[in-house]
Amino acid sequence: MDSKHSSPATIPDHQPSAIERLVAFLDERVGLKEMQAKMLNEPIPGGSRWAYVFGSILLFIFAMQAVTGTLLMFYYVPTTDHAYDSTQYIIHDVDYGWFLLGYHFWGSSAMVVCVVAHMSQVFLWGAYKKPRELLWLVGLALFGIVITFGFTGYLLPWDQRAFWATTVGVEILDKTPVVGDFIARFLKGGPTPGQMTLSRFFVLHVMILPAALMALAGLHLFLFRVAAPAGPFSGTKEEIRAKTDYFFPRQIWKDMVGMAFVFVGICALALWEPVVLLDQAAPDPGDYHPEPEWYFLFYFQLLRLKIFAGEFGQFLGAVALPAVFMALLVALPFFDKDPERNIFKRPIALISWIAIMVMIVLFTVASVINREFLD
Amino acid sequence: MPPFKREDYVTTHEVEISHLEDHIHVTPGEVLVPLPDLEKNVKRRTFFMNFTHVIGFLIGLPIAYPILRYLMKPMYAAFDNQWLNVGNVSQIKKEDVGVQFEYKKKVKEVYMPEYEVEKNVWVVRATPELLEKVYQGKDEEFRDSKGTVIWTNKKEIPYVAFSGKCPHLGCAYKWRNHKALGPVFLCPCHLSIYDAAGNVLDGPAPRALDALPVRVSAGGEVEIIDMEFKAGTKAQVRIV
Repeated sequence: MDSKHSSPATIPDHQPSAIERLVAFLDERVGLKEMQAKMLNEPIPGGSRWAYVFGSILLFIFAMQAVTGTLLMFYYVPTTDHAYDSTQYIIHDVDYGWFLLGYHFWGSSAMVVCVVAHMSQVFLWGAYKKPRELLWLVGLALFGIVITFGFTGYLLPWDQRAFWATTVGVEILDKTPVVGDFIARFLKGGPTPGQMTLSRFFVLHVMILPAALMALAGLHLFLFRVAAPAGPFSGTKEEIRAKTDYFFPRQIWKDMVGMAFVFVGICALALWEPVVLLDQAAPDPGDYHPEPEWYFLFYFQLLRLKIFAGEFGQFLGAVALPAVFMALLVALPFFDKDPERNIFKRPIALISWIAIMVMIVLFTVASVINREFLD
Repeated sequence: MPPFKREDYVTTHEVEISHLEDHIHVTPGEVLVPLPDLEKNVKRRTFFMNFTHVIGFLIGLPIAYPILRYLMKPMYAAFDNQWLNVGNVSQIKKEDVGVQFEYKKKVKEVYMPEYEVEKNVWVVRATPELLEKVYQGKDEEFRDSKGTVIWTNKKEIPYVAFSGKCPHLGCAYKWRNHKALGPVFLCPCHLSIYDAAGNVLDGPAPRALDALPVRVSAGGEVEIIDMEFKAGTKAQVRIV
């Protein structure tokens, strides 16, 4: 924003147009220009980077999920006798229903990919360290919400894939000591998946999780602005200051390009890999081999391992492993107090990240290879 | 434009009264705001702050329990001990082989209209050796929620019915030919493998397949009580 344009009254003989007067009217009452300046003139230490685009992209994906999700609700009915038929109706009869459903479906995958990318960037840049611990914690809560979004949304079409993912997923939660049985029944609204489960997952998916995500994403952004961006992990203070940029225009430009890429990518997937439902949900899967969504495949494969066999093994795999992993992420900024942020000077962090990524890739590939042996 | 001078501007950080802390108690970092005149007569500010919290708590407390009960309503259902006809033994051509019997079960869930769900159960006509592996010399008793015995599977009866639910994490298993182990029950989810007697041969399952109460009429009609047990536990815990 050029400062001259913000005060047209100082330019002689300038008659403000109707729009300028409207803007001035609103600005006087709302403080629009100050707000705009606060939003756009955020200093980015060390200048804009492609690595910083993921947060904005996630906000964009969420906005699109909210739009497509709301549109899907115009036809979708969350009951066991109509969920499947109404979803089929969206896919086969409603104009562009297949596209909006496909976009929503692939949008959820994009969300998971970008969350992992965003978390990786923050981890590798050491941006979770003091004074950004709370920012990291709220981010972890948002990660949990995104995963729960995926899990609850998966049931809604009420086909075989939906039914079995929920059946197995809730059984995993059931393995929690003491409260597991209660949690599982509470989520299912009974001993087995049915109407009560569909109702509960629906309310979670369209009401509770969106509200929680909006509140926490707001808090996340607020904490981000309070702490200020971390900036690059190398370079002297003077070098970083010399390259420092405002959010507008260079970072916004990069963010927009990133959003456009993601948008085109999701559209392409919705076009070439449209959502096809399996048979309607039933406790008899027929020839279908239950399998979770691709981003859970590594964990699915992991639970096949011998060390996770038996009652105690199942507790280890289903509860202890994910709980310990999340607890480590929560504790990370509190035990990693070394102010060094350069990832090439933090060998343990770098090796852990690579090890986790390699493990995820290997187990995902293994689960895909395993498919061949099942028929 | 007049020349700008730095001393004409202050930020909130710079509004400081030197040596204020010598005269009144100030915690470092505390932001002091002048008290409006109208507020000067109001005493017990801390009391009112705490009282606000107490009232908020008193509003929240009485609704917490009703909300919890409201959400818990459908969680626990009574067991259904009805006998269901699942098919005829003439479907079984060979002994010690898993044969899937598909059947429909009527489900009435609270306000929903009654509907049928497809389920399946695996029935094995067992040779005496296999029967011994299933029962290990003991009849198997089944109980209702109060613990009273409602049915006993006699160890001499050659028909064994296994619940279609895998005891590992609740998937549905199949009868398959395994390269090394021969014909087995195999769960495609996490690759638990069971022999025809239901015992675990390989994979992560914590216990054998769940045998159900089964009876076969003179005409060969197979009837079962459709029970389900919690997956992932060593002991059998009935949930349906």
